[in-house]
Amino acid sequence: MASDPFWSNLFRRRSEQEDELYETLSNVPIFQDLGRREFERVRGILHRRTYSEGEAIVREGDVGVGMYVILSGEVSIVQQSADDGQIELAVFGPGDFFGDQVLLDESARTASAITRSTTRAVGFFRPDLLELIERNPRLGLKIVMRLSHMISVRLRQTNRLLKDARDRARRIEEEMVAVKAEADAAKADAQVAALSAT
Amino acid sequence: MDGLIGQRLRILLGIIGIVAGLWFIYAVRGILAPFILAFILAYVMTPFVDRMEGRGLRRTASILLIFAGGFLCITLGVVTAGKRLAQEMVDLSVEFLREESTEREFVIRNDGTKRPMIVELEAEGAGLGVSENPFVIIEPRVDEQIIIEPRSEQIIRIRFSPSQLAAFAGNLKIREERTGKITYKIPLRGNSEADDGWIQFWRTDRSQERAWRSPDFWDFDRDKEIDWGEMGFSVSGLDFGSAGPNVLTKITILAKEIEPHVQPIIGQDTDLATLIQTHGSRLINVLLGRTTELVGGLFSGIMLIVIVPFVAFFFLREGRRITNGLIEMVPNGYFEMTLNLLHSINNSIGGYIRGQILAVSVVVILAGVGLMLIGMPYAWPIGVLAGLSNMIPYLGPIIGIGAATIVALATLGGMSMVTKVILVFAVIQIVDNVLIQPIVIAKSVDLHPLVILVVVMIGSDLWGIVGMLVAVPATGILKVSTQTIYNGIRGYSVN
Repeated sequence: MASDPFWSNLFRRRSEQEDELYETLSNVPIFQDLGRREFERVRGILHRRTYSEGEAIVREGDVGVGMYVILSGEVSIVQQSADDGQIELAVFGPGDFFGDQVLLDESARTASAITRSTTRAVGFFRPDLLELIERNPRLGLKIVMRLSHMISVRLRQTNRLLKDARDRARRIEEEMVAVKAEADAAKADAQVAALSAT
Repeated sequence: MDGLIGQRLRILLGIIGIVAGLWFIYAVRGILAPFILAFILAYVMTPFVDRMEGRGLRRTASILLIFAGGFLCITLGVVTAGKRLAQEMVDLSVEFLREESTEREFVIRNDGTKRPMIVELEAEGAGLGVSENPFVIIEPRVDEQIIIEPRSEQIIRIRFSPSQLAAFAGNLKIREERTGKITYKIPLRGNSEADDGWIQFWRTDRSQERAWRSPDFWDFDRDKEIDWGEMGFSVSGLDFGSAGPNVLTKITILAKEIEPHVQPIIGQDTDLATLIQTHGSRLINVLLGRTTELVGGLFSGIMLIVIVPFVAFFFLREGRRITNGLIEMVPNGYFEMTLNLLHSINNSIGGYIRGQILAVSVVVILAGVGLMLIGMPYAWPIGVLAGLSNMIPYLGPIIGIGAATIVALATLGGMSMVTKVILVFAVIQIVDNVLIQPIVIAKSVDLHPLVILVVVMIGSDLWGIVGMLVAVPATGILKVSTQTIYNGIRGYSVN
């Protein structure tokens, strides 16, 4: 049977696909800790999707159920701006992922993901994750630990950015106070000068 | 524009596909039963298989292990309690379905040339101190003396209808008309289980009266026509088998007794006994009809036993791949909603089924133990019936208590047992309603009691007992689906 080109082709294609999936997903932080065997378990609860160009993978405002990892193609992440226009936040390519935050809490999507070309993606969803935790707590814990690690890193980054922003704001404030004081002093000087002139 | 046409075409093709699929399922509905059963079995077992797989076993090994465990449990159960339970169930059904009377027919031939013979019936040694003659000659006519002239024969038909389930015996005596001497006796018996070589074929006109008790003395069997001396008989003895009053008759008799007391309440012209008799016999006919159907379906039953575990095995092994394959076919726009829908249905129904299994087990054990403690006969069959019928909301407990009351009345005939039965079932209902039902219904399908009442009535109207069983879970699915779809559509319409 192995010599049969049809069958060998079928099996080769399948295993190549599996390898591609493994290669891509093992670089996604939340699946990093998984061995090949554990990955095989997780693979059963992943959903492969194919999108044509210009299709929305997720829409801003919808209740999200999970994250997507892009296998091939390009996706632009856009957000509605205040004046009804759209701001492109980022362009994601193969290996990038988005929507991981809704794995932890069921909340509305903060941005839309629109494909820029034919895109293949793998979805990993909250109900499946919850089931996995119940079924195989050790494996579920590994994923959740990675997920919380990722989010805590992001929180730290956000905190740092916030601190930077705050520092900068304070500096600007101080500068402004100084400038104002200078201006006041100059004004006072000018007044004194004017008085002495009269 | 091209995209729009393409989309419309796809929607059209999708609808055609769904309709064709539904039509196909309808066309092959006859063979779907094992697959549905296998699906339910697989569905119930999935959590266990998943857990074992989570502990590091391979999925196939987990399934086989659970199957082996299940078969072992069933075998053990059959070996230990099952035999007794099955025997009790058979006995109980016999109580309901027992023949009130049996009839046997045979031929007496007078081969002699001179003497007319007279045939008479005589009950002898009526069983258990009962002085009644349960044997009646119904052919030829009862009120005539039966005389068999020389060179002639007579068909005799005898009915056995005892007033209670006790062993009876009798004789058919053949007398010479002229001398009045008894020359032959043909033994009759009914409700006699023992096979004690009972045939006593007496010939009394010899010099010494003598009884040959053992059939091998003459080396004849009952089917063989014997021709001995002047008389010929188509049988050497008549066994009437088992007959006696069944539960229905007993209850009818009971109803006749209490009729004068209750007639002032329910109205003078209500003939309680006749009412019970007619409706009861109709019910028993239905039961009997079903039994024949069951026996007729024995072959398909064996098919089920083989096919269901086989199919369930594959559902369990490939279940996730099958559902994932189906989800993959859903268009991108509805994909997340479908996923959500499946998970909420799964949660709600999975919880319901697991809860029901728990509830049935608890009620069976409580009812069985409770009835056994109060000394009720057939405690376990009634317990099993009560547990299973408990799955039907509202009506189920009534079925259980009704069955127990009928059996109590029929077997013991006293009202004191009925009181105890009602007490036992009251306790079970309290436990069920306080501890079990809140978990089963409230936590899984979350329906208002009034809604449950209405859908159970609708279910019974549409599909009878099956309808009542599936009414609550089906409504649960409908509710969850509606909620999920509504939320999904509302979510999309925000944009």
